Amino acid sequence: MKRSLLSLTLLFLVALFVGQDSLVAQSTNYKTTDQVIQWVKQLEKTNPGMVKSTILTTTPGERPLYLLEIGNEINSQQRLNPSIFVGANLEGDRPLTTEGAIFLAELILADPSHYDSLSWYIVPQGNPDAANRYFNAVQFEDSRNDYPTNDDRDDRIDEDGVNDLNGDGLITKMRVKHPDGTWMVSEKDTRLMQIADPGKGEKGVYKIYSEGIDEDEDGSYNEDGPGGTNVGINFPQLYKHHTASGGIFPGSAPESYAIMKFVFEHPDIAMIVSFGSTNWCYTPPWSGRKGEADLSKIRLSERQARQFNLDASRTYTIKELVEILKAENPQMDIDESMIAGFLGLGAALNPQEGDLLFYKKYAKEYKEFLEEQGVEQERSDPVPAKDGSFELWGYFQVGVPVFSMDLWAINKPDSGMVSPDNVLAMEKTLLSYSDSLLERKGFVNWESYEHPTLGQLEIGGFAPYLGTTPPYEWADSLLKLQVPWILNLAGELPDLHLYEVKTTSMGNGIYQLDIWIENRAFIPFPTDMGARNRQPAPAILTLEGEQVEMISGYKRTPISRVGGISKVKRTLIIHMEKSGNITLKLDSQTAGHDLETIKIGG
Amino acid sequence: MKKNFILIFVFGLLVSGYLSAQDLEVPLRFDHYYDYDQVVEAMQALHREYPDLTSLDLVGYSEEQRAIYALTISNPKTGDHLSKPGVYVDGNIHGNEVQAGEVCLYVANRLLTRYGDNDQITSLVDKNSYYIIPVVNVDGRYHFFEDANTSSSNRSIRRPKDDDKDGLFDEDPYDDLDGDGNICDMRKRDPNGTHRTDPFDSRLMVRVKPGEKGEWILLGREGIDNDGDGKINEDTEGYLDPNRNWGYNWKPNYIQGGAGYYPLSGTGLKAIANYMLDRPNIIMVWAFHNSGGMFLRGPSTKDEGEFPSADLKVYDYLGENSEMITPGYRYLLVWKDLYSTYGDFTGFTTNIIGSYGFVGELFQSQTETYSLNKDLKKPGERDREQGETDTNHQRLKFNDHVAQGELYKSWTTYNHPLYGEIEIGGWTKMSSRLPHPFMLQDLAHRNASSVLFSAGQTPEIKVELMGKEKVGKDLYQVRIRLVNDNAIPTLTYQSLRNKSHRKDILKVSGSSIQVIAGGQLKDEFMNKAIYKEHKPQVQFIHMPGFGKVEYQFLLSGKGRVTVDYSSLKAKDQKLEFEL
Repeated sequence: MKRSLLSLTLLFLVALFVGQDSLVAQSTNYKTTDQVIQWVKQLEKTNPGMVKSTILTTTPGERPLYLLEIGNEINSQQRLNPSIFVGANLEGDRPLTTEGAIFLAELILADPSHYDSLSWYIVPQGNPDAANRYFNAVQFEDSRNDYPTNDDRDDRIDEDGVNDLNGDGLITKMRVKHPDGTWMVSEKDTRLMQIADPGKGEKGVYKIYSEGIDEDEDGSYNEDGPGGTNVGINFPQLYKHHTASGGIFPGSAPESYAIMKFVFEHPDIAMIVSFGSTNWCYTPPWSGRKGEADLSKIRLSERQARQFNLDASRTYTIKELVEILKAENPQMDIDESMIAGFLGLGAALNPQEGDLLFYKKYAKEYKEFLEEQGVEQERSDPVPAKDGSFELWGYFQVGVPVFSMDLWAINKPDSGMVSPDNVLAMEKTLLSYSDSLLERKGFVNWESYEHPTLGQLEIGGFAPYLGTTPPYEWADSLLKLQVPWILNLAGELPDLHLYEVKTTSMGNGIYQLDIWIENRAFIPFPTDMGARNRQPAPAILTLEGEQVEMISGYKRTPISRVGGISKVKRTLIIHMEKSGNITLKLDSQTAGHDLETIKIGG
Repeated sequence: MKKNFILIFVFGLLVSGYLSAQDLEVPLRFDHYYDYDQVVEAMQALHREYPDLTSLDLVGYSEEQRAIYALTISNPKTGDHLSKPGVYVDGNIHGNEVQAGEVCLYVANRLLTRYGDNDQITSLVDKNSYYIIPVVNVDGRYHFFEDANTSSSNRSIRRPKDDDKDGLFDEDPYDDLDGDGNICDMRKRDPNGTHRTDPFDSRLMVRVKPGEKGEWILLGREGIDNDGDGKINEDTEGYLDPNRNWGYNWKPNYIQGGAGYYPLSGTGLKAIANYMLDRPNIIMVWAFHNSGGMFLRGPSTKDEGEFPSADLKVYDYLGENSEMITPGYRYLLVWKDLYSTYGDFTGFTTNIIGSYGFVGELFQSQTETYSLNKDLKKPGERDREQGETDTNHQRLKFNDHVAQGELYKSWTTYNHPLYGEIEIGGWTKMSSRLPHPFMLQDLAHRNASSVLFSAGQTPEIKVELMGKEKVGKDLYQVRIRLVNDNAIPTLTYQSLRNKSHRKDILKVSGSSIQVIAGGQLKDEFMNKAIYKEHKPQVQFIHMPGFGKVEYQFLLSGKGRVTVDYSSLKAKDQKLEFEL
């Protein structure tokens, strides 16, 4: 407890010293949709030619979903610069992440070097309907948009939601003694509840409900509240059908559909950033999913074996296949991801090995970045991305590097109880955070109440948003500390150049051109996942010149793969009778443009 | 002067399409194919002729801004269209699979033109609502007729995609080199070739056996290397397979080819999905494709696991009858008998719309026979050396003597910019997957009859008072029987398993009535009922196909009792009696 106090004091000190008046610093509370829209429009007005807003769609609750574009090409027909897409608060339950997007936009605009060769697309509030629930007079943590859904499949829609029975403006829990009860008061803290384990001789006493009455008198409590679909789990990667709030199918929510449509209509997007529930800056994305193809025992079909002159009766490891196919196709960039995609080895479920290299590198550097600013690593472990989430979709299906930040977490539980799976440990930590830093306001003490149908019970429990949303007074310093790292990452985009061109005259006007192309960045072009799903566009090497005939190779060569800090070589043989200049161009919407003029002959 | 004026006026009418629309008479004819514009005219003609029974719905627009229309057939006198079981029929989701459009028009034409004269058809129209979309892929159909194609091309919807990963989009399509409106095959003389002329018919070729001298090499489909990258026809329109772009169990392109960037990225498809979601009464879906002669049911992928066995009984009943209506066609299972397909329409309709569904693969080219042997070649029996050559021989003779040469283009020389002297020839666009027009009506009628058979089996629920007995001073035991004499339940068992849809509701009410208890009667003789714990006056029930369900209530009070049965997918019923 003392240590956390210290680290937080440091935070406040940092805030005092930096002391800027960003919008976040000036405000007193998190932003409603109307306030976000006001801010968007204001930004547009004060930055003409550099900021443009678009309404991507309208939510079921009839709120507009805004996207901000920042850069020098907002009115250009032809775009040359790469861009970064930022989506915030897609589950609607983290108003701090919307502040983060606002803070980032203002940080970008504070210095032209942030946007003169890079554009930004920012969605500050990805789930406006859910985001507005934070501001309801009665607060209830709920990620669903306002799409009317008959959750309990009865004869009415949205007829039985939560109710603030004790009038404290918060939806907490009700505990009632019942013979079927499976919960008991925890020994760790009498405010906490835990499931009784009969194996340990524990006896279940209580049933637990969310606060409310049974409006439709069907015996279930609050099972069909207003809404809706959780936009943040309505994306296609590992999407789960027929869940309570996942929607009907990926993209059934207009918000997620509009975001996917926008991203695929903008192939200049080179990176995606998510401000939400995960933190892929702090730790690499989780890697423990089961069910992927075994890359050490690949069996080819008859047709594939015929096609590659291989043996269908034996298995190969992925490395063996890379070696064999590289040898047969020297001009192609063959690697594991490409072969896995080409052979149809099925869905990738975990981040690719090659990509984990850059995730690990940047996680290490990010922790050093935080340390330099005086932060000690006390936060609890970031949680894995949810099935159907925005960041999983970005990494696995768009095939670009994806980074995320949750922007705040409570401190790590006491040693010995570290995993977030240990709910009790996390709850105890939440309690101590509430007790020490929120004047115990994060927990409503159990108090008796006479319920119309359940009889004598007690109402109490954690306040909504306790684990996701810190007091607004901390927002500015938290964001100042973390959000600038995104600008560091923006400088790490794949960066292609013509490294060297060697011209060899072979006589009679025939010239061999050996062209080396380098990627100066650590992140490969594209990511391993992008190579596997073959989604990102290749870079194009073009040869221009008058009276040039191609002897070997083509005037237009796609370059589909250059590893991180690596080079690839292409060889072209041309025929030019008269001496003159040729131009080699290297163009990629996401990785840059380069050009070299070469004198041939003479 | 006046004559000229009249001529010009008539010409103007012709050009504007008015006269041709008038030419399209109802009943429609099925001895020719309808291009996209003619399909729209046909639907307009049907609606014009039967305004009370139909509505023409603009569902949405395609990528190239063509309108997608649905024809709703419903008799307003038997209820609002949403109150009756919905039968949805569509076709031509793959742009080249055009006869599906004619089958859908046939269904509409049959239902409307025989209404009032034919008892069975009259009752089919009165009991259901029909939603008919003859052309899902409007751009595909338009381009199939308008442009040169193979019988398999123009399947995709018009979303440009960089298929060959060269940074260009749809830059190397087929090319109609000889301008005959077909994309045929190219071959070149080569003594080291892989093929030689078939001794049976010089139009055909057979593979060279080891040791034999060759005559030809095959150069693929008609085309040139439009983008100069050393490959021909490697990046045609799309490729986005509209039948892999739906929202259930969708997988991205690297796992399921043609899936598109994200579910329902196709604008027309998204509009149709919304159209269907707005009609929760749809319980039976037919989607027509070509070819092969099949009635396919889901599941679409192996990893989904089989449907509940109670659903299989419904499918088997409808499928087997369809096989008898259309002899030669087989009732099959998608993932097992064909291959797994992710994100297809079947997955969407069975798991999200909550209906039963068949995909009809229309036409079998092996029916183009020329043989004294009366037995049709067994479909699926394709002995590569003997059988295939044999079928091709017959089809060629059929082409010559039954179709007067209209199905096959003889090899003609051509000077190709890259290959030099080659020959172009082969099966034409309007062949192989499509019946010659003279066989179209039979195909359309039989497949339409399969649709109508299932339409006759949509749920119709009868609610009866089974028994009423005074069992106490102020207590009555009332038994209600609900019967469905048709094969299709009011909700699929798959929907029950997924909990994706609301069950049917049975409500008991009365101004002076109180419902003390209520529940399903499991055994009327033993008086075994499972009473519902809360709100006994509202029961959630599911009606099976060919079956009954019984409910028992304990009521107190007096006077009129009203029993209301309401269902998403069957017509609501009401029963009233005195206590």
